[in-house]
Amino acid sequence: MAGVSLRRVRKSFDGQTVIRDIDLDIADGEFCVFVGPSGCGKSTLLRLVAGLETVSGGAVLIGGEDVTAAPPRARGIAMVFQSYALYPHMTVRENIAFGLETRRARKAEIAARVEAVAKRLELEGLLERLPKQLSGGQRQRVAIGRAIVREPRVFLFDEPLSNLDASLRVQMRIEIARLHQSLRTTMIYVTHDQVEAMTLADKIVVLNAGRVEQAGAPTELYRHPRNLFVAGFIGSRRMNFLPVRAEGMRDGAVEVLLPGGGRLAVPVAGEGARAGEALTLGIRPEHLRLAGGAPDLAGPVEVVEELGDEQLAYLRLPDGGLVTARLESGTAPREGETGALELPPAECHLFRADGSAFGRP
Amino acid sequence: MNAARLAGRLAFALLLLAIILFALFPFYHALVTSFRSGSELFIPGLFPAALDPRNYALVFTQQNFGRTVLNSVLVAVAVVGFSMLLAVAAAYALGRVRFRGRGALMLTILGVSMFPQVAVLSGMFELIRALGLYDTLPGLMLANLVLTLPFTVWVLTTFMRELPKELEEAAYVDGAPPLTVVRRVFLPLLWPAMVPTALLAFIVSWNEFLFAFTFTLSAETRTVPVAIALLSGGSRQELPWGLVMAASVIVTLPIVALVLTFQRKIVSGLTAGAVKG
Repeated sequence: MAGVSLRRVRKSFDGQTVIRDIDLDIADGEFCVFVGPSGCGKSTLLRLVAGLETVSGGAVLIGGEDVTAAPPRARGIAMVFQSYALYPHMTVRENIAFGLETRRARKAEIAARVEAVAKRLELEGLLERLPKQLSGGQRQRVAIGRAIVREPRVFLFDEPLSNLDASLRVQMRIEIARLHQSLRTTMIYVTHDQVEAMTLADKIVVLNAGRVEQAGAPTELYRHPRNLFVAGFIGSRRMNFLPVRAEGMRDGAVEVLLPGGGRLAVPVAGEGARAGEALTLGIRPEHLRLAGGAPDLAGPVEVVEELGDEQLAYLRLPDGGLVTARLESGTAPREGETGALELPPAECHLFRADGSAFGRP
Repeated sequence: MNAARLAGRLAFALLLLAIILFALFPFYHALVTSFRSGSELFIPGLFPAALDPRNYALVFTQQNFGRTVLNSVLVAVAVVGFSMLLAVAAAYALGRVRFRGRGALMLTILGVSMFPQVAVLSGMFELIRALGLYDTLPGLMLANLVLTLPFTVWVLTTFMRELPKELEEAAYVDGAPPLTVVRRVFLPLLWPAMVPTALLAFIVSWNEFLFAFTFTLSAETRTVPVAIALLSGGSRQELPWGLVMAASVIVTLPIVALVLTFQRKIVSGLTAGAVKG
């Protein structure tokens, strides 16, 4: 068991920099998720930790030991690949045993450990099958089995669930969470799916264009996104962004002019905000409510999506922007009617023109 | 409509028949001739009057043909062995490792196979003699490698590139050093490509004439194609067609047997990688 630290890690391919000076500390036993849009460098960062790519600069430490120059086999890691990468010519048993054989473990020990892993992952009946005779979920479990049988210091997962169908993905997600609870080994998990990130992580690292946008606990990223990118990326429904104008500061709040003419005092630390400055107000769909009295936002409802337990209403604002509100089922106005919404000030985020967020209480 | 279709199928069948005849008639003729001897050889006819196995016995008793076949087998097996060993190692480097000049090296290897054999003959002769391998089987093995390596390397490299990169990486993460990865992961997956490639290398070495003719002198180091060309009859004026054909049939049989044995592998090898799955 060991923590992982990255010190000013840089990586470029053919002159193109894909990882820019990343500093990161992952504590021993932590479940850390790298998340970001495709091409943000999250898989590359994982491969740098694995040793499958060599860094162009900086250092990688595992368990306090500098492994920057060490090959993968000397790092004490195990990895689960997106494509599973099971050896197609070996049975499930041979696939799981391979990592032990390369370390010249004794035959009896190998057999015992393979059996134990097979039991834990419910693969007992499949040990003599070839990968091509397995379903997607079973292959995934074999790939995980191949990783845990070696008892590594750090587990690396590279988008392990992206090839599975939706229901199986949820099921495997729970299995991976359970696995982490029982093993308590450091895990680094790469995904582009923010739901996986939110549900699995102790710590989420949001990456964009080779940089860390923000790293922290899921609730912290959800409640206190540091900038527009993180605010828009985290959350199962994308945050609404409204162009607003600062009207002035007032005891620990910034008063802003909303599209359509409404005014709202947003309780943020508004140091540096000047009257007349163009800002962006962020509000999550699940925090918008139907207005009881005078609405903060109003406009014609263009589309209502019925999801059974909830409805998503899309309102066209006077300035042409579209806002999404998650409403309780049966309460949304009909399509074509005018919707009136209320913004709970405490749930609002405020961003400067450069994208950085004002601090929230 | 129906008649047109029938005519089309008939024409297709005829075409097939023509191709088969064209491909197989020479061998059939050799087979028939090998069972004839004496003046019967010069009577044209599609069927032998009688099956006379005398030529087959004569080839072995009169010409020390057994030794010649053994030489050919030794050379071909060694060439196939070395070709495969070197080609797999080279394919790993060329197909898997990124290094400067890889493309140029690949083209050079392909270029080597474009030289006509005669062009390298004299240079190769000097090389063989300098190494003290003239008139020896190892010398012939070395020379034949020049013929087989370019295409074995090229085919296996192409195939190696098709193997998913994650497999190799998974093995590295699993703690396997590069040689183990080649032996335990790549080799088993390359089998379908290696079998037909090895077979082609065997055929090339088995049929090779020019090097064998130039680099050997004595009957003890002669290979089959040379021995057949040098078969002599009872007198200077007589070319022993019966013996030549009997010897030809004998040396064709191992190839036919090999191809039939590995037929399924060859087909799967030639198409492998075309479609995933």
